[in-house]
Amino acid sequence: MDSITSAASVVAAGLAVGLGAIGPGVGQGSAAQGAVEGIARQPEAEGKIRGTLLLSFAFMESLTIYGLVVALVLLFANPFS
Amino acid sequence: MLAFNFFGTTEGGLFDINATLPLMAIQVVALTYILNSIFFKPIGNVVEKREKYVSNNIIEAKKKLSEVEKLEADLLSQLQSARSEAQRIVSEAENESDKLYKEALELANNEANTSKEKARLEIESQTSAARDKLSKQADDLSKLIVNRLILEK
Amino acid sequence: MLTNFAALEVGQHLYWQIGNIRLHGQVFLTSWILLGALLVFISLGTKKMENDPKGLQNLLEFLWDYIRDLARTQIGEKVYRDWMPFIGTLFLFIFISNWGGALIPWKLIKLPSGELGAPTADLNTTIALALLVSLSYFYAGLSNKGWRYFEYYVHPTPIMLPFKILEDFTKPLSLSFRLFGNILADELVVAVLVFLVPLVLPIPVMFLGLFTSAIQALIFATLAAYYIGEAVEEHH
Repeated sequence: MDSITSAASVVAAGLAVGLGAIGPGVGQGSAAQGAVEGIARQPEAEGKIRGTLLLSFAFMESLTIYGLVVALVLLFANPFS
Repeated sequence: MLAFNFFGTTEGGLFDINATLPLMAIQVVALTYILNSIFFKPIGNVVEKREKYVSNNIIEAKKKLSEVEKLEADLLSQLQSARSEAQRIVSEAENESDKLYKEALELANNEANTSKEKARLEIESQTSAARDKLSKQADDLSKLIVNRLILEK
Repeated sequence: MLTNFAALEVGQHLYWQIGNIRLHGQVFLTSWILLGALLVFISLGTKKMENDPKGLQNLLEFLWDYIRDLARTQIGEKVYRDWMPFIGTLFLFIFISNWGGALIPWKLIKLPSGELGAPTADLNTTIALALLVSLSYFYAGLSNKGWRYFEYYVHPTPIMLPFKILEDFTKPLSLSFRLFGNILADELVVAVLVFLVPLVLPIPVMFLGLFTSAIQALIFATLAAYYIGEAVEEHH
């Protein structure tokens, strides 16, 4: 693998994780806000809200994980090497 | 750049998919059956038996509780009627004693009145008798005085 | 520093050759050890069942109740009994794989190639699990509703058809890559931190990893149950 390809792969891996974390981060923040407001309004529904929150977190989290998987592909299984 | 060594080799790598996949799937399916027979079924039987037992007990207890409540209501109504009966008897007795008292009072009053009247009459008659006697004596005395005066002359 | 990343041995496997098929031996070795421990644990707990649960039986009943609640809320009252063992097995398998991979010091056992670790950090395992989930929700839908299962694809409007078909592919993809990515990321983060600062600092990250591992097991089981519930749900 030439050095240009490795450099580009490392930079691209960093970008994939870094940029991929922005959206889900914002989304998880607003989801947590909504959940906290919901719990404040209806403390008896906390268990249900927590379950739904964790589930939706998982969906958002998986977007970041896709970025991570792309980064891992670039670092450890680079198709252009 | 040793980190990139792995994809230089023909085998291996992070995304190497081979017969591990179907064998793992078979292993998980087998695990499902094993766990179903040694874990989910026996535990489920025990838990559900207990849940049935508990719910049966709850139903029985509820039945007993309603019986007790019925008995309590019964006793309460009996108590209520007994209490009103007692109330009635007490007020009746009070009325009776009131009446008796009034009667006795009236009788006593009457008696007192008649004896007062009798005494008054007696006093009056004795007074008039005494007055008559007194006036007779006065008459006698005046006659005597008159006689004496006449005789002296 | 990059030279030392080789110590992580990412993507190296212990190959077993049987006939002309090749297996990742380390995945099977770890999973057999962990499953053996799980089966011993369960058979100890269910050996002497009493109406008044004591000790291990108590724990197992709690687990059973937890799995039943999960299955019942996601799948629905009607058919959750049929799918509870599958959901529970997924949960238990992923949970012990994740925690066993994180808690047991596998590095002490030297292999000729590759290293022992969580079976769920191998893509083969997670794809196998995700495909089993796909198969089971198809089976659940078809066996419960027959051909009416395909009404689900055009449910609100026929416009949804391509998206629903696409979903059938994205569901196993996201299931498998979510689990794989999370567990591999945990292992990598811990390994990198241990390499950089061998003392104290990796411990909170390890605890975070344990938390994530447990949540991932719960999420995988919940999503599997949710997909099955979606397939057997009656539309009106």
